[in-house]
Amino acid sequence: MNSFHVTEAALRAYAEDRLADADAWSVEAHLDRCEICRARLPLDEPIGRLVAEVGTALAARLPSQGRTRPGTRWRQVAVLLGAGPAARVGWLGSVVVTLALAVAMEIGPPPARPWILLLLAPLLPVLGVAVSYGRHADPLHELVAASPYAGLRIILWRTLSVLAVTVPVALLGGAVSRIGTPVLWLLPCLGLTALTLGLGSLIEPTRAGLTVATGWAVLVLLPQGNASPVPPIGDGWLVAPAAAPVWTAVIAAAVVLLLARQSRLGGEVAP
Amino acid sequence: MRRREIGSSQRDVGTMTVSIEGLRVGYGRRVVLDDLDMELTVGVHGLLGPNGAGKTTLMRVLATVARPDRGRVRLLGHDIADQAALRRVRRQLGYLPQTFGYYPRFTVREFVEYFAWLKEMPRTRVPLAVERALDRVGLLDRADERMKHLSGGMLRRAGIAQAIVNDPRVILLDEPTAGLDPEQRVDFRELLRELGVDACVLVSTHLVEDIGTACGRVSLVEGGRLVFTGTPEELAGTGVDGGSGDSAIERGYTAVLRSARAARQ
Repeated sequence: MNSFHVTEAALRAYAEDRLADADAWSVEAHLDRCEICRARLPLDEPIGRLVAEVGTALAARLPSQGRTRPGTRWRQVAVLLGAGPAARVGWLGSVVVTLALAVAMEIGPPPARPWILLLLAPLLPVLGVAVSYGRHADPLHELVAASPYAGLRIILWRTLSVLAVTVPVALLGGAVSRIGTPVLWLLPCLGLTALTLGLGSLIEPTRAGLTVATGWAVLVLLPQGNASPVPPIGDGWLVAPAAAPVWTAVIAAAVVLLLARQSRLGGEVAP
Repeated sequence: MRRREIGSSQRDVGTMTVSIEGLRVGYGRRVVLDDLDMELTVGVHGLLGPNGAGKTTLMRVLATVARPDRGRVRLLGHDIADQAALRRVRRQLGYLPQTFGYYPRFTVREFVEYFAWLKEMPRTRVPLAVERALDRVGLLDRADERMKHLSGGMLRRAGIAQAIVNDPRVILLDEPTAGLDPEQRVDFRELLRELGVDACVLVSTHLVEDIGTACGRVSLVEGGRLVFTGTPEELAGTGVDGGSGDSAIERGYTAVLRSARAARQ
């Protein structure tokens, strides 16, 4: 920062009080600004001790700064992702449950009911999203609604934070259950999440989540077998490549609905 | 005279105002605000009225949280029905609702910081703005305590801190003195006067004594309409002949309410 530094001889002369006043002042002015030269200043032992004591005494009288966080882009992203009503508590719990289920299936006898994973994994983001915004789920809704982030923007941040922890669970579920292709488990995950958001612009978000969850449960648990037109869930038709266009269409429709009705998100008018 | 010159040269007075024309808000069949007109400029404005008169609804409309059925609301020169302008207006807005929750694991500092980010403050300004807001409401020494450990009065002050963290030009405070003890109320009035120097501050209250000392102007809402607007002295003046209460302002308040109710019937 400072290209100029006081010479060794001048510093020593200053410390021993042998400089003329004008020179001493300019050395002092430089020392005020230059940490490097301050560190080089030779102090004899009593003076050094005095400086240390004064420093300690002053520091004790300053108020503590507390846990002030830097104003960086990283911190901004961390706050937007980490805050929110459902962050951590709700969904981390569900993730732990699913992971435990997956591990149990892996180490236990061959999975008797692999469809449990297909039922649960895509529902985790749905439930997470449903309880992360709106007047009933978010205790700060009234305050957030008056901020520039209100509406779609804050909801997308919170959705992102939910997906960040639930998508790995879905992939793991795909790998463990051996239903369909693991990567294609992303489709119901994203599809149902988009549906919840889209529906959340029409009805109350928690109700939207419940509706989507019920629909998914019916689809997964439909009577299977020879008499039924629905293929067995073990065939993985919901997460097969053939289902990809359908899921894409669902996501696209939900996004269109979401964008068309974004000013109504979260149910703003209420008594 | 000289003060007015400074005011008009340094600030664009036209964009500092809140302007409401023919506002109507109803929930279902119940009409809460009906054909309300109001103009506010820089300074501290008191919003008085009995419970259920529509004060909170008016606050929520101005905070861009509740949607009017009819009428035009302009904040800082922008119509809030305009979605593009809304985002810019909201950056300049500070809002303390009558009741608000919090995320239990938030510390006071994180709570205020969260709203600094949500209000899109420039990144480098955030840490200092949070400290300053906490200092202004006297919560700096409790900054790292969790919200769930705060008393009601401290929660309210944390709410005020988040409202003013972005140095807003329109500040809406709904019942800000509820839960504050007398000493904190005095401090709060001092803060109000500071804020009112260069922002439009609207304070709703049903405590008449809050108005007299801190507010430059008072508006009185009754039955969804604006029934009085003027200085606290003018309100006190209306109570000279009739009205009941212990202070001049209280007598003025009851006199205006009575004549408004009589006129409606």
